[in-house]
Amino acid sequence: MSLRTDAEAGFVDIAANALSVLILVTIIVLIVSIVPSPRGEVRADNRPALPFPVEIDPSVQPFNSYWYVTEAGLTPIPLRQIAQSVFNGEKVIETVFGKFFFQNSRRTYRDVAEFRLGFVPDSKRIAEAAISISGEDEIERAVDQFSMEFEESYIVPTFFVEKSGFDIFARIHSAMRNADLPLRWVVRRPGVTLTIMRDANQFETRAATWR
Amino acid sequence: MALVSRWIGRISLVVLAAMVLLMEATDVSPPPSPPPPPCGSGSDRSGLAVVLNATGDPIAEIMARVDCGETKQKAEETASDESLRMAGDICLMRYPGLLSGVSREIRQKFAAAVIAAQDGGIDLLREIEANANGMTAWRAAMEIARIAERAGDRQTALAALARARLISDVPAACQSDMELIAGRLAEDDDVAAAYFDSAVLADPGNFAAHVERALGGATLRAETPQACADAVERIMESVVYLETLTRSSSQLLRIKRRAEVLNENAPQRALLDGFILERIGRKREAAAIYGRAMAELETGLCDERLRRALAIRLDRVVQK
Repeated sequence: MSLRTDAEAGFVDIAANALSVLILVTIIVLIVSIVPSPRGEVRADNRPALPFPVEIDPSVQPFNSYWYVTEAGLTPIPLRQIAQSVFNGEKVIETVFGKFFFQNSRRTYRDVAEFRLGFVPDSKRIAEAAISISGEDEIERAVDQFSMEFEESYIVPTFFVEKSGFDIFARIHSAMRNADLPLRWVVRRPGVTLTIMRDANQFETRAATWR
Repeated sequence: MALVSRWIGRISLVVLAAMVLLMEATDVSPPPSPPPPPCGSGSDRSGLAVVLNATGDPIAEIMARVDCGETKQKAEETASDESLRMAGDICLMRYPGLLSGVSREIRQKFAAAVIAAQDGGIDLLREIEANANGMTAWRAAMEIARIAERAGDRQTALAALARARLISDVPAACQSDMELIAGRLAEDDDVAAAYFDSAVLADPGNFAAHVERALGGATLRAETPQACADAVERIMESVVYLETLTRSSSQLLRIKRRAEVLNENAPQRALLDGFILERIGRKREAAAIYGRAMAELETGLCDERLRRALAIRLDRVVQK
Protein backbone atom coordinates (compact mmCIF):
# COMPACT_ATOMS: atom_id res chain seq x y z
CA MET A 1 0.00 0.00 0.00
CA SER A 2 2.80 2.33 0.80
CA LEU A 3 4.21 1.59 -2.67
CA ARG A 4 1.13 2.96 -4.41
CA THR A 5 0.45 6.53 -5.12
CA ASP A 6 -2.55 8.28 -3.62
CA ALA A 7 -4.45 8.22 -6.88
CA GLU A 8 -3.98 4.52 -7.31
CA ALA A 9 -5.00 3.91 -3.73
CA GLY A 10 -8.17 5.82 -4.36
CA PHE A 11 -9.03 3.73 -7.39
CA VAL A 12 -8.45 0.52 -5.45
CA ASP A 13 -10.82 1.81 -2.79
CA ILE A 14 -13.49 2.56 -5.32
CA ALA A 15 -13.13 -0.85 -6.93
CA ALA A 16 -13.24 -2.68 -3.61
CA ASN A 17 -16.27 -0.75 -2.41
CA ALA A 18 -18.02 -1.28 -5.69
CA LEU A 19 -17.36 -4.99 -5.32
CA SER A 20 -18.86 -5.08 -1.84
CA VAL A 21 -21.89 -3.15 -3.05
CA LEU A 22 -22.24 -5.66 -5.85
CA ILE A 23 -22.06 -8.52 -3.38
CA LEU A 24 -24.68 -6.88 -1.22
CA VAL A 25 -27.02 -6.20 -4.10
CA THR A 26 -26.66 -9.78 -5.30
CA ILE A 27 -27.55 -11.09 -1.87
CA ILE A 28 -30.58 -8.84 -1.64
CA VAL A 29 -31.74 -9.90 -5.08
CA LEU A 30 -31.34 -13.56 -4.15
CA ILE A 31 -33.34 -13.12 -0.96
CA VAL A 32 -36.13 -11.27 -2.68
CA SER A 33 -36.40 -13.73 -5.53
CA ILE A 34 -36.73 -16.92 -3.48
CA VAL A 35 -39.87 -18.42 -4.95
CA PRO A 36 -42.40 -18.67 -2.16
CA SER A 37 -43.79 -22.19 -1.69
CA PRO A 38 -47.40 -22.32 -2.78
CA ARG A 39 -49.74 -21.96 0.18
CA GLY A 40 -53.24 -23.23 0.10
CA GLU A 41 -54.38 -25.32 -2.82
CA VAL A 42 -54.44 -25.13 -6.53
CA ARG A 43 -57.45 -26.98 -7.83
CA ALA A 44 -60.15 -26.56 -10.37
CA ASP A 45 -63.68 -26.26 -9.05
CA ASN A 46 -65.27 -27.13 -12.34
CA ARG A 47 -65.47 -30.53 -13.91
CA PRO A 48 -62.77 -31.01 -16.50
CA ALA A 49 -63.71 -30.65 -20.15
CA LEU A 50 -63.28 -34.39 -20.78
CA PRO A 51 -65.28 -36.00 -18.00
CA PHE A 52 -64.42 -39.40 -16.66
CA PRO A 53 -66.92 -42.17 -16.09
CA VAL A 54 -69.94 -41.41 -14.00
CA GLU A 55 -69.67 -42.02 -10.29
CA ILE A 56 -71.18 -45.30 -9.26
CA ASP A 57 -71.16 -47.17 -5.99
CA PRO A 58 -67.49 -47.67 -5.18
CA SER A 59 -67.98 -51.03 -3.54
CA VAL A 60 -70.52 -52.81 -5.75
CA GLN A 61 -69.55 -53.82 -9.25
CA PRO A 62 -72.31 -53.42 -11.85
CA PHE A 63 -73.39 -56.06 -14.34
CA ASN A 64 -72.04 -55.83 -17.87
CA SER A 65 -73.78 -55.99 -21.23
CA TYR A 66 -71.67 -56.16 -24.33
CA TRP A 67 -72.29 -54.28 -27.55
CA TYR A 68 -70.39 -54.26 -30.82
CA VAL A 69 -70.38 -51.02 -32.81
CA THR A 70 -69.94 -51.05 -36.58
CA GLU A 71 -71.02 -48.58 -39.22
CA ALA A 72 -74.23 -50.55 -39.52
CA GLY A 73 -75.13 -49.85 -35.89
CA LEU A 74 -75.12 -51.57 -32.52
CA THR A 75 -75.11 -55.32 -32.11
CA PRO A 76 -75.81 -56.80 -28.68
CA ILE A 77 -73.58 -59.74 -27.78
CA PRO A 78 -75.49 -61.84 -25.25
CA LEU A 79 -73.29 -64.21 -23.32
CA ARG A 80 -75.97 -66.55 -22.02
CA GLN A 81 -75.54 -69.16 -24.73
CA ILE A 82 -71.78 -68.96 -24.56
CA ALA A 83 -71.91 -69.41 -20.80
CA GLN A 84 -74.06 -72.50 -21.23
CA SER A 85 -71.54 -73.96 -23.68
CA VAL A 86 -68.67 -73.23 -21.32
CA PHE A 87 -70.65 -74.83 -18.52
CA ASN A 88 -70.94 -77.96 -20.61
CA GLY A 89 -67.16 -78.09 -20.92
CA GLU A 90 -66.54 -76.61 -24.35
CA LYS A 91 -63.39 -74.59 -24.85
CA VAL A 92 -63.93 -73.23 -28.36
CA ILE A 93 -67.38 -71.91 -29.08
CA GLU A 94 -68.44 -70.85 -32.55
CA THR A 95 -71.32 -68.43 -32.66
CA VAL A 96 -72.93 -66.17 -35.18
CA PHE A 97 -70.86 -63.30 -33.78
CA GLY A 98 -67.50 -65.00 -34.04
CA LYS A 99 -65.37 -67.42 -32.08
CA PHE A 100 -65.02 -67.57 -28.33
CA PHE A 101 -62.03 -69.22 -26.69
CA PHE A 102 -62.34 -70.21 -23.05
CA GLN A 103 -59.26 -70.58 -20.92
CA ASN A 104 -59.40 -71.69 -17.35
CA SER A 105 -57.55 -69.95 -14.61
CA ARG A 106 -53.94 -70.76 -13.85
CA ARG A 107 -53.09 -73.78 -11.75
CA THR A 108 -52.31 -71.52 -8.81
CA TYR A 109 -55.57 -69.65 -8.68
CA ARG A 110 -57.07 -67.50 -5.96
CA ASP A 111 -60.75 -67.54 -6.76
CA VAL A 112 -62.30 -70.63 -8.34
CA ALA A 113 -64.18 -68.44 -10.79
CA GLU A 114 -61.10 -66.97 -12.50
CA PHE A 115 -61.12 -67.30 -16.26
CA ARG A 116 -60.18 -65.76 -19.59
CA LEU A 117 -62.61 -65.63 -22.47
CA GLY A 118 -61.14 -64.58 -25.78
CA PHE A 119 -63.42 -63.22 -28.48
CA VAL A 120 -62.53 -63.03 -32.16
CA PRO A 121 -65.45 -61.24 -33.77
CA ASP A 122 -66.71 -61.80 -37.28
CA SER A 123 -67.37 -58.20 -38.26
CA LYS A 124 -69.37 -58.94 -41.35
CA ARG A 125 -71.90 -61.17 -39.66
CA ILE A 126 -72.07 -58.86 -36.68
CA ALA A 127 -72.87 -55.94 -38.96
CA GLU A 128 -75.68 -57.97 -40.52
CA ALA A 129 -77.30 -58.40 -37.12
CA ALA A 130 -76.88 -54.78 -36.13
CA ILE A 131 -79.59 -52.50 -34.84
CA SER A 132 -79.26 -49.46 -36.99
CA ILE A 133 -78.93 -46.11 -35.25
CA SER A 134 -78.63 -43.36 -37.73
CA GLY A 135 -81.29 -40.90 -36.68
CA GLU A 136 -81.53 -38.76 -33.58
CA ASP A 137 -84.63 -40.53 -32.28
CA GLU A 138 -82.98 -43.91 -32.69
CA ILE A 139 -80.06 -42.74 -30.62
CA GLU A 140 -82.47 -41.41 -28.04
CA ARG A 141 -84.28 -44.73 -27.91
CA ALA A 142 -80.98 -46.56 -27.43
CA VAL A 143 -79.96 -44.21 -24.62
CA ASP A 144 -83.36 -44.65 -22.99
CA GLN A 145 -82.90 -48.38 -23.05
CA PHE A 146 -79.45 -48.12 -21.48
CA SER A 147 -80.86 -45.79 -18.88
CA MET A 148 -83.63 -48.21 -18.02
CA GLU A 149 -81.21 -51.11 -17.78
CA PHE A 150 -78.99 -49.12 -15.45
CA GLU A 151 -81.82 -47.88 -13.23
CA GLU A 152 -83.63 -51.17 -12.93
CA SER A 153 -80.99 -53.85 -13.28
CA TYR A 154 -77.70 -52.04 -12.59
CA ILE A 155 -76.36 -53.05 -16.00
CA VAL A 156 -73.66 -50.95 -17.62
CA PRO A 157 -72.85 -51.38 -21.32
CA THR A 158 -69.40 -52.16 -22.63
CA PHE A 159 -68.85 -51.21 -26.26
CA PHE A 160 -66.42 -52.85 -28.63
CA VAL A 161 -65.86 -50.18 -31.25
CA GLU A 162 -64.55 -50.87 -34.69
CA LYS A 163 -62.89 -48.22 -36.77
CA SER A 164 -65.83 -48.03 -39.12
CA GLY A 165 -68.18 -47.52 -36.22
CA PHE A 166 -66.45 -44.52 -34.67
CA ASP A 167 -68.89 -41.97 -36.05
CA ILE A 168 -71.89 -43.73 -34.66
CA PHE A 169 -70.16 -44.45 -31.38
CA ALA A 170 -69.17 -40.82 -30.97
CA ARG A 171 -72.82 -39.82 -31.07
CA ILE A 172 -73.90 -42.53 -28.66
CA HIS A 173 -71.04 -41.65 -26.35
CA SER A 174 -71.93 -37.99 -26.18
CA ALA A 175 -75.62 -38.78 -25.73
CA MET A 176 -74.84 -41.08 -22.84
CA ARG A 177 -72.45 -38.60 -21.24
CA ASN A 178 -75.15 -35.95 -21.46
CA ALA A 179 -77.56 -38.32 -19.78
CA ASP A 180 -74.94 -39.03 -17.10
CA LEU A 181 -74.96 -42.74 -17.78
CA PRO A 182 -71.91 -44.87 -17.12
CA LEU A 183 -70.38 -46.82 -19.95
CA ARG A 184 -67.03 -48.16 -20.97
CA TRP A 185 -65.57 -48.83 -24.36
CA VAL A 186 -62.71 -50.60 -26.02
CA VAL A 187 -61.37 -50.05 -29.51
CA ARG A 188 -61.21 -53.27 -31.44
CA ARG A 189 -58.18 -53.31 -33.67
CA PRO A 190 -58.21 -55.82 -36.51
CA GLY A 191 -56.43 -59.00 -35.65
CA VAL A 192 -56.53 -58.37 -31.91
CA THR A 193 -58.53 -60.73 -29.72
CA LEU A 194 -60.85 -59.12 -27.21
CA THR A 195 -60.56 -60.71 -23.77
CA ILE A 196 -63.15 -60.82 -21.05
CA MET A 197 -61.66 -62.06 -17.84
CA ARG A 198 -61.74 -62.34 -14.10
CA ASP A 199 -58.28 -62.43 -12.63
CA ALA A 200 -56.51 -61.61 -9.39
CA ASN A 201 -54.45 -58.95 -11.17
CA GLN A 202 -57.59 -56.89 -11.71
CA PHE A 203 -57.90 -56.49 -7.97
CA GLU A 204 -54.43 -55.12 -7.41
CA THR A 205 -55.69 -51.60 -6.89
CA ARG A 206 -58.97 -49.83 -6.91
CA ALA A 207 -57.81 -47.28 -9.41
CA ALA A 208 -60.38 -48.47 -11.91
CA THR A 209 -63.99 -47.85 -10.95
CA TRP A 210 -64.98 -51.27 -12.10
CA ARG A 211 -63.66 -53.88 -14.45
CA MET B 1 -5.35 1.89 10.11
CA ALA B 2 -7.66 3.13 7.42
CA LEU B 3 -7.06 -0.07 5.49
CA VAL B 4 -8.01 -2.25 8.45
CA SER B 5 -11.15 -0.30 9.20
CA ARG B 6 -12.15 -0.46 5.56
CA TRP B 7 -11.75 -4.23 5.48
CA ILE B 8 -13.55 -4.61 8.78
CA GLY B 9 -16.39 -2.61 7.31
CA ARG B 10 -16.64 -4.78 4.21
CA ILE B 11 -16.41 -8.05 6.05
CA SER B 12 -19.07 -7.03 8.53
CA LEU B 13 -21.30 -5.97 5.66
CA VAL B 14 -20.91 -9.38 4.00
CA VAL B 15 -21.47 -11.18 7.28
CA LEU B 16 -24.61 -9.16 7.95
CA ALA B 17 -25.94 -9.93 4.50
CA ALA B 18 -25.18 -13.61 4.99
CA MET B 19 -27.03 -13.62 8.30
CA VAL B 20 -30.04 -11.99 6.74
CA LEU B 21 -29.95 -14.59 3.97
CA LEU B 22 -29.81 -17.47 6.45
CA MET B 23 -32.64 -16.11 8.57
CA GLU B 24 -34.75 -15.74 5.46
CA ALA B 25 -33.97 -19.33 4.52
CA THR B 26 -35.10 -20.73 7.85
CA ASP B 27 -38.32 -18.74 7.76
CA VAL B 28 -39.44 -20.48 4.57
CA SER B 29 -39.82 -23.91 6.17
CA PRO B 30 -43.15 -24.41 7.94
CA PRO B 31 -43.28 -24.46 11.72
CA PRO B 32 -43.15 -27.99 13.16
CA SER B 33 -46.59 -29.42 13.89
CA PRO B 34 -47.36 -30.10 17.54
CA PRO B 35 -46.73 -33.73 18.48
CA PRO B 36 -49.86 -35.88 18.51
CA PRO B 37 -51.17 -36.93 21.91
CA PRO B 38 -49.43 -40.08 23.13
CA CYS B 39 -51.26 -43.39 22.91
CA GLY B 40 -52.11 -44.32 26.47
CA SER B 41 -54.90 -46.10 28.21
CA GLY B 42 -56.73 -47.05 25.04
CA SER B 43 -54.05 -49.48 23.92
CA ASP B 44 -55.46 -52.46 25.73
CA ARG B 45 -58.44 -52.52 23.41
CA SER B 46 -58.17 -53.63 19.81
CA GLY B 47 -58.06 -50.96 17.16
CA LEU B 48 -61.46 -52.07 16.02
CA ALA B 49 -63.34 -51.77 19.28
CA VAL B 50 -67.00 -51.94 18.71
CA VAL B 51 -68.36 -51.66 22.24
CA LEU B 52 -67.81 -48.37 24.03
CA ASN B 53 -67.91 -48.05 27.76
CA ALA B 54 -70.70 -45.84 28.87
CA THR B 55 -68.63 -43.82 31.33
CA GLY B 56 -66.24 -41.10 30.35
CA ASP B 57 -66.27 -39.05 27.20
CA PRO B 58 -66.50 -41.61 24.42
CA ILE B 59 -66.04 -39.05 21.68
CA ALA B 60 -62.78 -37.77 23.11
CA GLU B 61 -61.63 -41.34 23.58
CA ILE B 62 -62.30 -42.19 19.95
CA MET B 63 -60.54 -39.08 18.74
CA ALA B 64 -57.57 -39.73 20.99
CA ARG B 65 -57.22 -43.24 19.66
CA VAL B 66 -57.28 -42.01 16.09
CA ASP B 67 -55.02 -39.03 16.62
CA CYS B 68 -52.36 -40.89 18.58
CA GLY B 69 -51.91 -43.18 15.62
CA GLU B 70 -53.15 -46.37 17.25
CA THR B 71 -55.83 -47.00 14.63
CA LYS B 72 -53.37 -46.21 11.89
CA GLN B 73 -50.90 -48.68 13.33
CA LYS B 74 -53.48 -51.45 13.40
CA ALA B 75 -54.45 -50.58 9.85
CA GLU B 76 -50.83 -50.66 8.74
CA GLU B 77 -50.48 -54.16 10.20
CA THR B 78 -53.38 -55.28 8.06
CA ALA B 79 -52.20 -53.48 4.95
CA SER B 80 -48.66 -54.80 5.28
CA ASP B 81 -49.80 -58.31 4.44
CA GLU B 82 -48.11 -58.81 1.08
CA SER B 83 -50.61 -61.34 -0.14
CA LEU B 84 -53.68 -59.20 0.57
CA ARG B 85 -55.53 -57.89 -2.46
CA MET B 86 -57.77 -55.55 -0.56
CA ALA B 87 -59.84 -54.72 -3.61
CA GLY B 88 -60.88 -58.35 -3.97
CA ASP B 89 -64.62 -58.67 -4.02
CA ILE B 90 -64.66 -61.98 -2.17
CA CYS B 91 -62.37 -63.55 0.42
CA LEU B 92 -60.93 -66.04 -2.07
CA MET B 93 -59.73 -63.13 -4.19
CA ARG B 94 -58.35 -61.20 -1.24
CA TYR B 95 -56.26 -63.97 0.25
CA PRO B 96 -54.51 -66.84 -1.51
CA GLY B 97 -54.93 -70.49 -0.78
CA LEU B 98 -58.35 -70.43 0.88
CA LEU B 99 -59.88 -72.96 -1.48
CA SER B 100 -57.52 -75.20 -3.37
CA GLY B 101 -57.81 -78.57 -5.01
CA VAL B 102 -60.91 -77.76 -7.05
CA SER B 103 -61.01 -79.64 -10.36
CA ARG B 104 -60.77 -77.90 -13.70
CA GLU B 105 -64.28 -78.94 -14.66
CA ILE B 106 -65.83 -77.34 -11.61
CA ARG B 107 -63.75 -74.21 -12.04
CA GLN B 108 -64.92 -74.02 -15.63
CA LYS B 109 -68.51 -74.24 -14.41
CA PHE B 110 -67.93 -71.40 -11.94
CA ALA B 111 -66.41 -69.32 -14.72
CA ALA B 112 -69.43 -70.01 -16.92
CA ALA B 113 -71.72 -68.77 -14.15
CA VAL B 114 -69.71 -65.56 -13.81
CA ILE B 115 -69.82 -65.03 -17.58
CA ALA B 116 -73.59 -65.38 -17.56
CA ALA B 117 -73.97 -63.28 -14.38
CA GLN B 118 -77.46 -61.85 -14.26
CA ASP B 119 -78.45 -63.56 -17.49
CA GLY B 120 -78.84 -67.15 -16.28
CA GLY B 121 -75.86 -67.39 -13.94
CA ILE B 122 -77.97 -68.25 -10.92
CA ASP B 123 -79.36 -71.38 -12.59
CA LEU B 124 -75.86 -72.57 -13.40
CA LEU B 125 -74.76 -71.89 -9.84
CA ARG B 126 -77.65 -73.89 -8.40
CA GLU B 127 -76.45 -76.85 -10.43
CA ILE B 128 -72.93 -76.46 -9.05
CA GLU B 129 -74.21 -76.08 -5.51
CA ALA B 130 -76.33 -79.19 -5.75
CA ASN B 131 -73.29 -81.32 -6.55
CA ALA B 132 -70.76 -79.72 -4.20
CA ASN B 133 -70.05 -79.48 -0.52
CA GLY B 134 -67.82 -77.57 1.85
CA MET B 135 -66.23 -74.37 0.65
CA THR B 136 -67.11 -75.08 -2.98
CA ALA B 137 -70.79 -75.10 -2.07
CA TRP B 138 -70.18 -71.99 0.02
CA ARG B 139 -68.67 -70.21 -2.98
CA ALA B 140 -71.60 -71.18 -5.17
CA ALA B 141 -74.16 -70.04 -2.61
CA MET B 142 -72.30 -66.78 -2.06
CA GLU B 143 -72.16 -66.08 -5.78
CA ILE B 144 -75.93 -66.60 -6.01
CA ALA B 145 -76.37 -64.22 -3.08
CA ARG B 146 -74.07 -61.62 -4.64
CA ILE B 147 -75.71 -61.74 -8.06
CA ALA B 148 -79.20 -61.62 -6.55
CA GLU B 149 -78.28 -58.74 -4.25
CA ARG B 150 -76.85 -56.70 -7.11
CA ALA B 151 -79.92 -57.42 -9.19
CA GLY B 152 -82.21 -56.34 -6.35
CA ASP B 153 -83.69 -59.79 -5.63
CA ARG B 154 -83.69 -59.83 -1.82
CA GLN B 155 -85.55 -63.11 -1.39
CA THR B 156 -83.12 -65.16 -3.43
CA ALA B 157 -80.15 -63.42 -1.87
CA LEU B 158 -81.31 -64.04 1.70
CA ALA B 159 -82.08 -67.68 0.96
CA ALA B 160 -78.65 -68.21 -0.59
CA LEU B 161 -76.96 -66.44 2.33
CA ALA B 162 -78.80 -68.70 4.78
CA ARG B 163 -77.49 -71.73 2.92
CA ALA B 164 -73.97 -70.31 2.95
CA ARG B 165 -74.16 -69.83 6.71
CA LEU B 166 -74.90 -73.53 7.15
CA ILE B 167 -71.48 -74.48 5.85
CA SER B 168 -69.04 -75.17 8.63
CA ASP B 169 -65.34 -74.30 8.92
CA VAL B 170 -65.56 -71.13 6.90
CA PRO B 171 -62.42 -68.99 7.36
CA ALA B 172 -62.78 -65.61 9.07
CA ALA B 173 -62.12 -63.63 5.89
CA CYS B 174 -65.02 -65.44 4.23
CA GLN B 175 -67.29 -64.88 7.20
CA SER B 176 -66.58 -61.22 6.66
CA ASP B 177 -68.13 -61.46 3.19
CA MET B 178 -71.25 -63.08 4.60
CA GLU B 179 -71.63 -60.31 7.15
CA LEU B 180 -71.13 -57.70 4.45
CA ILE B 181 -73.89 -59.09 2.28
CA ALA B 182 -76.15 -59.45 5.31
CA GLY B 183 -75.54 -55.78 6.07
CA ARG B 184 -76.35 -54.75 2.53
CA LEU B 185 -79.55 -56.78 2.59
CA ALA B 186 -80.66 -55.53 5.99
CA GLU B 187 -83.52 -53.08 5.94
CA ASP B 188 -82.88 -51.51 9.31
CA ASP B 189 -79.92 -49.15 9.46
CA ASP B 190 -78.88 -50.17 12.96
CA VAL B 191 -78.93 -53.86 12.07
CA ALA B 192 -76.91 -53.12 8.95
CA ALA B 193 -74.37 -51.15 10.96
CA ALA B 194 -73.93 -54.07 13.36
CA TYR B 195 -73.31 -56.41 10.41
CA PHE B 196 -70.70 -54.07 8.95
CA ASP B 197 -68.97 -53.90 12.32
CA SER B 198 -68.67 -57.66 12.49
CA ALA B 199 -67.55 -57.75 8.84
CA VAL B 200 -64.55 -55.52 9.52
CA LEU B 201 -63.84 -57.36 12.74
CA ALA B 202 -63.64 -60.66 10.88
CA ASP B 203 -61.48 -59.24 8.11
CA PRO B 204 -59.94 -55.79 8.58
CA GLY B 205 -58.63 -56.00 5.02
CA ASN B 206 -62.11 -56.02 3.51
CA PHE B 207 -62.14 -52.72 1.67
CA ALA B 208 -65.80 -52.87 0.68
CA ALA B 209 -66.85 -53.53 4.28
CA HIS B 210 -65.00 -50.43 5.46
CA VAL B 211 -66.65 -48.37 2.74
CA GLU B 212 -70.10 -49.53 3.78
CA ARG B 213 -69.29 -49.01 7.45
CA ALA B 214 -68.12 -45.44 6.93
CA LEU B 215 -71.07 -44.57 4.70
CA GLY B 216 -73.48 -46.23 7.11
CA GLY B 217 -72.10 -44.19 9.98
CA ALA B 218 -72.36 -41.02 7.94
CA THR B 219 -75.98 -41.52 6.90
CA LEU B 220 -77.41 -43.05 10.05
CA ARG B 221 -80.22 -41.19 11.76
CA ALA B 222 -78.98 -41.69 15.30
CA GLU B 223 -81.74 -42.13 17.87
CA THR B 224 -79.64 -42.20 21.02
CA PRO B 225 -76.40 -40.56 22.10
CA GLN B 226 -74.80 -44.00 22.19
CA ALA B 227 -75.77 -44.58 18.56
CA CYS B 228 -74.25 -41.23 17.74
CA ALA B 229 -70.97 -42.14 19.41
CA ASP B 230 -70.96 -45.47 17.56
CA ALA B 231 -71.53 -43.71 14.26
CA VAL B 232 -68.63 -41.35 14.95
CA GLU B 233 -66.39 -44.29 15.81
CA ARG B 234 -67.36 -46.12 12.63
CA ILE B 235 -66.62 -43.11 10.47
CA MET B 236 -63.28 -42.34 12.09
CA GLU B 237 -61.92 -45.89 12.16
CA SER B 238 -63.06 -46.94 8.74
CA VAL B 239 -61.72 -43.82 7.05
CA VAL B 240 -58.31 -44.48 8.62
CA TYR B 241 -58.43 -48.08 7.41
CA LEU B 242 -59.54 -47.04 3.94
CA GLU B 243 -56.78 -44.49 3.69
CA THR B 244 -54.18 -47.04 4.76
CA LEU B 245 -55.47 -49.79 2.49
CA THR B 246 -55.70 -47.78 -0.70
CA ARG B 247 -53.09 -45.07 -0.17
CA SER B 248 -55.03 -43.22 -2.81
CA SER B 249 -56.74 -39.91 -2.24
CA SER B 250 -58.93 -40.33 -5.30
CA GLN B 251 -60.52 -43.42 -3.77
CA LEU B 252 -61.34 -41.54 -0.59
CA LEU B 253 -62.83 -38.70 -2.58
CA ARG B 254 -64.94 -41.18 -4.50
CA ILE B 255 -66.38 -42.38 -1.21
CA LYS B 256 -67.04 -38.83 -0.17
CA ARG B 257 -68.93 -38.19 -3.40
CA ARG B 258 -70.91 -41.40 -2.87
CA ALA B 259 -72.02 -40.03 0.49
CA GLU B 260 -73.24 -36.91 -1.29
CA VAL B 261 -75.21 -39.00 -3.76
CA LEU B 262 -76.86 -40.88 -0.91
CA ASN B 263 -78.03 -37.44 0.08
CA GLU B 264 -79.10 -38.10 3.60
CA ASN B 265 -78.79 -34.94 5.55
CA ALA B 266 -77.52 -36.66 8.63
CA PRO B 267 -75.16 -34.31 10.45
CA GLN B 268 -72.46 -36.99 10.69
CA ARG B 269 -71.88 -36.56 6.98
CA ALA B 270 -69.97 -33.40 7.71
CA LEU B 271 -67.67 -35.43 9.94
CA LEU B 272 -67.07 -37.94 7.16
CA ASP B 273 -66.46 -35.26 4.53
CA GLY B 274 -64.21 -33.23 6.77
CA PHE B 275 -62.22 -36.18 8.04
CA ILE B 276 -61.58 -37.51 4.55
CA LEU B 277 -60.32 -34.10 3.47
CA GLU B 278 -58.20 -33.92 6.58
CA ARG B 279 -56.56 -37.27 5.86
CA ILE B 280 -55.68 -36.33 2.29
CA GLY B 281 -54.15 -33.08 3.44
CA ARG B 282 -56.79 -30.51 2.49
CA LYS B 283 -56.89 -29.04 5.96
CA ARG B 284 -58.38 -25.69 5.13
CA GLU B 285 -61.37 -27.23 3.40
CA ALA B 286 -61.80 -29.63 6.29
CA ALA B 287 -61.80 -26.76 8.77
CA ALA B 288 -64.42 -24.97 6.70
CA ILE B 289 -66.68 -28.02 6.66
CA TYR B 290 -66.32 -28.60 10.39
CA GLY B 291 -67.02 -24.95 11.16
CA ARG B 292 -70.08 -24.80 8.93
CA ALA B 293 -71.48 -28.02 10.37
CA MET B 294 -71.01 -26.81 13.93
CA ALA B 295 -72.87 -23.63 13.13
CA GLU B 296 -75.76 -25.57 11.61
CA LEU B 297 -76.14 -28.06 14.45
CA GLU B 298 -79.30 -27.81 16.42
CA THR B 299 -79.93 -29.05 19.92
CA GLY B 300 -80.86 -32.65 19.40
CA LEU B 301 -80.06 -36.06 20.88
CA CYS B 302 -77.04 -36.62 18.73
CA ASP B 303 -75.95 -33.06 18.28
CA GLU B 304 -74.30 -32.75 21.66
CA ARG B 305 -71.86 -35.56 20.90
CA LEU B 306 -71.45 -34.51 17.32
CA ARG B 307 -70.65 -30.97 18.36
CA ARG B 308 -67.92 -32.38 20.59
CA ALA B 309 -66.55 -34.51 17.75
CA LEU B 310 -66.52 -31.63 15.30
CA ALA B 311 -64.95 -29.33 17.86
CA ILE B 312 -62.10 -31.76 18.52
CA ARG B 313 -61.46 -32.25 14.80
CA LEU B 314 -61.56 -28.52 14.13
CA ASP B 315 -59.11 -28.00 16.93
CA ARG B 316 -56.68 -30.53 15.48
CA VAL B 317 -56.99 -29.22 11.96
CA VAL B 318 -56.47 -25.61 12.88
CA GLN B 319 -53.49 -26.41 15.07
CA LYS B 320 -51.40 -27.76 12.21
